[in-house]
Amino acid sequence: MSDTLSIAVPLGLPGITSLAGFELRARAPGSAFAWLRCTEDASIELLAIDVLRLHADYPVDQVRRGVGFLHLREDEPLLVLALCTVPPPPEAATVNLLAPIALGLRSLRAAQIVLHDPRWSDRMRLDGDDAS
Amino acid sequence: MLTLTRKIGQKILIGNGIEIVVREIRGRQVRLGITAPDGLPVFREELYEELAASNLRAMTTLDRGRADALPEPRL
Repeated sequence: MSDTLSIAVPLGLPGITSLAGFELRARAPGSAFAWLRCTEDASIELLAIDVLRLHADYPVDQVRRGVGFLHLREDEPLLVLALCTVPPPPEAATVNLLAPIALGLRSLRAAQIVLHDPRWSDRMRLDGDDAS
Repeated sequence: MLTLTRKIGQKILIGNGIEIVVREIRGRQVRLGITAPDGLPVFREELYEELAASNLRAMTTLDRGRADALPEPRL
């Protein structure tokens, strides 16, 4: 991921559905982590991670089918992110791999969906174990 | 709220592309079939609430210092 992307999340994110404008910025150049900040409410900021940097076998095709309502072009590159929860201590951090955020890298439209796949949990540790 | 009475096999249509059919009624449980436009998210309420809670937890526990301390994945 490079630079800062201004993205639209037309349906919002569950829990904060009224807000659709976000900005995505890599934590550092080349980092798997990125900051997802709401442009309509600066107090809303989340940490996300590129799921393919965690699990190369993540079902990206399933995610693409799940965001059919975004009407992304078939050849549009997709960035799949998972939201991170980082309680103290940071080693207890978890990622929500059950409900990824898919971002079309041309249209810059994104949505969060839920996978119906028992391999993934909403509280997986960064090392891959299920913390739930 | 609109309240409708339906029998098994009868449908409710919402807009142009959403169809809900009553498949089965067993005791206090109703089994519904839902047809929606491709990829339109359909959630059980409790799953949606869990997802919302998870997003809010991710937001409220965020601390820049801790987040910056997370190591890059090794994959």
